[in-house]
Amino acid sequence: MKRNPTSGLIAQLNRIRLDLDTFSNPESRSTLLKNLDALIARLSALRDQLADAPLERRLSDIGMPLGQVIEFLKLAKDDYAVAALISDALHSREAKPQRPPINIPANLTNVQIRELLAQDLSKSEIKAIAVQRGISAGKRRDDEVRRDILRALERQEGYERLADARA
Amino acid sequence: MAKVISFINYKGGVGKTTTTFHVGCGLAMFEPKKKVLLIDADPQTNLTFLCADFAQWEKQVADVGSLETVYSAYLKSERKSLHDLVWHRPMTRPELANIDLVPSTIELLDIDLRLQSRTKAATTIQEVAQIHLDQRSILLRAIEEVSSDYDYILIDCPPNLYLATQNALYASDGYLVTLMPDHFSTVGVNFLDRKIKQLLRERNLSEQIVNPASDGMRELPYFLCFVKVNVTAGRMQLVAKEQMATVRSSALFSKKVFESRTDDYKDIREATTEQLPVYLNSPGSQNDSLYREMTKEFRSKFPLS
Repeated sequence: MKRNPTSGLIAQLNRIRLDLDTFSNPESRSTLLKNLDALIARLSALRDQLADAPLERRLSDIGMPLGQVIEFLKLAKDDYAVAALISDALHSREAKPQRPPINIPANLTNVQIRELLAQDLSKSEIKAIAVQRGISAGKRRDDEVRRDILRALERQEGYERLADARA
Repeated sequence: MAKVISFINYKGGVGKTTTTFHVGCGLAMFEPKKKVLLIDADPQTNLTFLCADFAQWEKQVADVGSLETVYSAYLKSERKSLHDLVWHRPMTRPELANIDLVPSTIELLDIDLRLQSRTKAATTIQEVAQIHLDQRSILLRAIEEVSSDYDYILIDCPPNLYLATQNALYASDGYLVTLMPDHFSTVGVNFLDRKIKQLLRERNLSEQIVNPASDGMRELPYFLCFVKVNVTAGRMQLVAKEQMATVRSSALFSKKVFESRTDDYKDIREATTEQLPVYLNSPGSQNDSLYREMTKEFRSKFPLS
């Protein structure tokens, strides 16, 4: 099966944007922030374009902004201020408390699945639920898998209504 | 007394005949070997032609009769013993010596209409209930005559729920629904469940009216099994996987679905053409082992008492 070439690219760009977001900390230096904000805006616009434009146009438009990102990162690598910021940002990320994994029991009922999906689940937790309903998570986004699970529940409940003699 | 199991689905092409044939052959061939009677209740006559070739069938029907003979006799207010209609050892392979057959004919096609047209006028609720039971107990009464000769009697039903199928249901100790893992089959199996339960409620009600002392709460054990599962390059297709999970996890069928299933590999079509079970036509093939598993599970789900 062919992979969608844009999905990987978008994911990479999103990751870059997330990293750059860490620099938009209010404590960061104002000049750097301005530049970063501009860069983030450009990358965001690029991401939106990638989602909408035809493939050929997307590919032709990618070159220049990507070049800018690469140049920025080359400079940033040797920049003392940026290094300090990265170090701070990494420390602050590590310090973020992680929630304990949620145990996904076997043979979940539809009600239990809905309750679980209302929580902020990890990819593996969503996948564990999907497997119970024969849904392949593959490399799809969490929200897509979550949507398919809910759709399967609705369909199943529809089937069951057909069997209800009172219907 | 034999355990009588009907293979039912009002949808066509969902593997009823192939599964009846293979489970029947499996019960007869593999230890502990059982004596099996196959009853072809479908006018399409496919189970019959899995067991015998055309010339043999023509001679058998002309000389002895078929399942239709039982119904015709009823319509003429006569009785025809199933003993006289059983085709002993229709298949020549020694491994299949434990299998007998009551063949079908195309004449079964309008049996429902013929039975219906013979319905007598009734003036009391007791008469209505009695007629209801009589019309649906023709096969039951015929099977009772031969029941002690067999361990299992398997009935291949036509793809409808008319009187011939209702006769099979009334004669059965349980039923097995074959279905394919797709959207329409899952829709169908839910309708089917509702309809069969309604038919059984009607039977119970009629029995209570005719005989108020009877236990009117009789239910039939039933199971579902997935057949002809779509497999591509050794992997089950995603739609099949999801549909199977949907049925297995549903409140209605969660404890009713066989663990075993069969695939849509060509080995089944090849065996059908050769009028042999896959166990003999292509031993070691995918469906050979799958149908062995299904036979094993059938024994445990429908144990002999």
